[in-house]
Amino acid sequence: MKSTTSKVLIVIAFLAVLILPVLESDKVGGALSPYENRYLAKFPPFFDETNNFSKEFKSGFETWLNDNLGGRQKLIRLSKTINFRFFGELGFFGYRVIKGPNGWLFYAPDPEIPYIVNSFVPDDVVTKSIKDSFERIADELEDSDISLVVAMFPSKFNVYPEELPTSLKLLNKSSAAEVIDEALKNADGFSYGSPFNELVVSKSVFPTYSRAYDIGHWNQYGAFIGYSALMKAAKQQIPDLRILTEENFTITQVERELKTEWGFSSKEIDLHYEPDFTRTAVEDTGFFERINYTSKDTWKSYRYYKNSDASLPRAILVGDSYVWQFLLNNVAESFSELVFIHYLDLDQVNGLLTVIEPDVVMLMGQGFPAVWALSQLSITNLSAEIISHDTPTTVERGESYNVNIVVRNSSDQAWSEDEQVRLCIFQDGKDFGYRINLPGGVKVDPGQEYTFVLYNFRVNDVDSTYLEYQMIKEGYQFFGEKERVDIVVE
Amino acid sequence: MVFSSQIFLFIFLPLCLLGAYLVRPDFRKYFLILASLAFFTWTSKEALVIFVVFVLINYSFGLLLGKTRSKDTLVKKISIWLVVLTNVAFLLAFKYLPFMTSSLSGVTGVELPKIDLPVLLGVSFFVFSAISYQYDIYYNKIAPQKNLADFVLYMSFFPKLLQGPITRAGDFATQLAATKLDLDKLSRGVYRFTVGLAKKVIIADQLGAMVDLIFANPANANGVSIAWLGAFGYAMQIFFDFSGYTDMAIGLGQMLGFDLPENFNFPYLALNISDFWRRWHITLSSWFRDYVFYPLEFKRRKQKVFRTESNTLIVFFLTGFWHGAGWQFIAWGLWHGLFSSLEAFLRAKKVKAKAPAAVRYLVTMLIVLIGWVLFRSPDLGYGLKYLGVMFGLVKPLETGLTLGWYLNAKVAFILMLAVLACIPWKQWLPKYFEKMSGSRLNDPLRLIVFLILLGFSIMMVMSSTYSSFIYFKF
Repeated sequence: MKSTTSKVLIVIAFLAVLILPVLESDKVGGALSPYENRYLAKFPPFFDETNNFSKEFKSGFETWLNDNLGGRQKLIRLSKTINFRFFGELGFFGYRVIKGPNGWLFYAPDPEIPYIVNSFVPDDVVTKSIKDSFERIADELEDSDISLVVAMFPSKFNVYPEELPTSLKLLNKSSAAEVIDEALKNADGFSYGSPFNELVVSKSVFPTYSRAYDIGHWNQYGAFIGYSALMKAAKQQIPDLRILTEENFTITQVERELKTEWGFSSKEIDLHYEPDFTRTAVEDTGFFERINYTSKDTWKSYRYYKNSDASLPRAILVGDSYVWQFLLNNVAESFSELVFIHYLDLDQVNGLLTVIEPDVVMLMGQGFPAVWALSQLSITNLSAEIISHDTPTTVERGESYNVNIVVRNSSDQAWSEDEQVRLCIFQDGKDFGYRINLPGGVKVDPGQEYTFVLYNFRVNDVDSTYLEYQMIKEGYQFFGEKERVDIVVE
Repeated sequence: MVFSSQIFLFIFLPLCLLGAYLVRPDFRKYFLILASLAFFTWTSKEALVIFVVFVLINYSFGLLLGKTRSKDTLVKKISIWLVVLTNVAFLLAFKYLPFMTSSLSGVTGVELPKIDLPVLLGVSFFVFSAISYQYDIYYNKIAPQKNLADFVLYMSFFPKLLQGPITRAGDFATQLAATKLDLDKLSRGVYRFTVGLAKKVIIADQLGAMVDLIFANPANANGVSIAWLGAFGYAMQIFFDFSGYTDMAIGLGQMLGFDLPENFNFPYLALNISDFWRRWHITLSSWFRDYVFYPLEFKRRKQKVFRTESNTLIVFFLTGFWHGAGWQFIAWGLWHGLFSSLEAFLRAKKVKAKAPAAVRYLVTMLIVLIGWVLFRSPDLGYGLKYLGVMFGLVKPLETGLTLGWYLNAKVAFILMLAVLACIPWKQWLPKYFEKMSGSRLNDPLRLIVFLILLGFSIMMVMSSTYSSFIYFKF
């Protein structure tokens, strides 16, 4: 640069680009980002609860800054537009979304690739072990007169492999989903619902999966095929089960469009099912809170429906988004009580069995990985009663207390440390991993009581807290009664 | 805190520039010390304490060496050994301890206890700066720095603290004495910084995403063409990452009135490996030349056979080890050392290469590329297997992912940009650039290029923090 004007302009432009975004930043933060479908970070507090300078401030400040600089949203949009217009990038950052030659979008993160290109196909040993696992679960449930229904819904790429981009090459003709589907069709002791074939056959008449509007799911038509297959399987266990058919709905063709701010758009057709009947199943949103449900389900997809017709059977349904986003309303119509939980919460099934006392447990999931995960369910008959405890309801700040909690083994199995049966102490509704173990060699037989001692319980920082006690079989389930004690700190 | 992070760009840098230009000139160095320590503290407070102790020890060592300069040779030698070994021990402790304990455990079969020391970013760089300072005193090239503030600033100056360029104390002290802030230097610094930022975020980071995917696969889970793409992509990524960082460091130095040394000179145009090392990470190569190679040559001057070759191998072994605690880095260093030694041998025998320049170039780049595969690999076994796939010695697994999966339109475009940016257009088209330089359009064109680079870079920086949360798969 030779001229002073150019030099000045360069410096001014540089400083403006660095300073203006900070001046224009959202000083409070926490706004909803339309491009990211999330709330942006808030400005962090300087001080923590004890009025000391917060150790989290530094990282919180950086997160706030990264999220809230002025012009960020516009630059994200510009970046996406450039990437889409020039390079055909779809712009769904954070996820691997791929596009086929005819505009079909597929959700393809790294762990899914072996299932998409069929590089992983389970061998006979694996398929047999999964089949055996479901038969074992059916046996375990049968002890309590509960039926088992299993269903697998194929992924979009299993039904529409021809729409995958050419950068992927299918290594085997059969997918893992097809192999396990065939194996489960011949299983004993439970009913298996498979909409796989019908979803493939029907697609020549009408699309069964969303082309682009929904990156990873079936459409309403496909979902109805899935519902019918599931309920048909359930009917084998409960012959009087009411199943909704197409006659119960007024079906219209609808057009759906995905349009993004950065220029991507895609139109597709689907069916809309308008019920010709009045729905009797009603969601009860307070159910899980009432039973102190502990969940690992990030999306909080668990649901509870109650039907006015109490004579209908009761069911626990474990599945994924293929179920709770598409099927729940219709399935709930057939049951007096229906609990849905995500298979991430599989360890909660045992606890729910004692609460719901279902007639049927339905396990269903998308593709091979979900079916494999569901086959890991282990039904136990663990239960416990909290007989007494001497937790102080008022404590001195910083003072230590020992607390005795007497628990009775009301199940039909003995407890021991070898079985990893322990007492879990929750504080303020959270499981911080605090456990009281049974001493080595101690066995608590069915009907016996045992006194767990919580040593040196102390509160330093807060004015009130609460503890909850519940037994746990580590890695499997919490079980039995859960007792809560509110504590005031003086 | 890296130069391309938002906290650096939008908070630290403007405040630092503002402070540097507003404080009285005689207070400027104190301000820069504070800024540099704040920059370092962003990693951790513990690291800062260790760093400050390290600097103070070296300051004292410098004074000690200064006092022994007039003493007899033995005292002088003992002093420099003490000083150098202390610095090397510090480096070994903070960078190589886990590697050494795991290697020792592997050899002896005895499980050694793990010692967790704080991570000291840039430890290799500031320890080398300290050693060069002490050696320069020992060799009477410079006088010990008596002014503590000047020494602290030399050691901690934030533009060069984490990744160099490795600066010599004498050069720095000379500049510090004559630091002057002016519009010319500021604008040159801004331009250079922006070019570096663009290299980093537009080229290196974008290629890095593709390279990471390939190297995240098992070594034999990439097809031949994908393995070559990964190697080529990494060669480009590491060059634009490191040279981009250096440009930013030099630019920052200029903005604050210092001229830091150059580190790169179109390394991918080298015609042999020795030439490559004259163009790649120049300040490190010259450090090893001055403080390891020449002393070794002098010490072993009576040895006539295989002296230079073996000294070259030693230097490259150390170069590899300096880059990281892992056998893959040592293998990378020795790989380069092998060819550098061979070239030294041929030079000594006065054998001249008869192959055409194009062939020499391709062979050199192939050697460099193979080296980068070892360098990028998580361990030596992985690197060798990966190379086996590249050269058809290991049969790759079928993964179903074709070359097109990784080489999409964007990656292809950025690779093309990278290749074009590796060419010294100014040297190749001197007449055109001379003409342009004299033209009235020169400044406006440079301004436009600057604004485009700045705009795109800021867009990339801000959109890199984008994280979506779409609940379509559970």
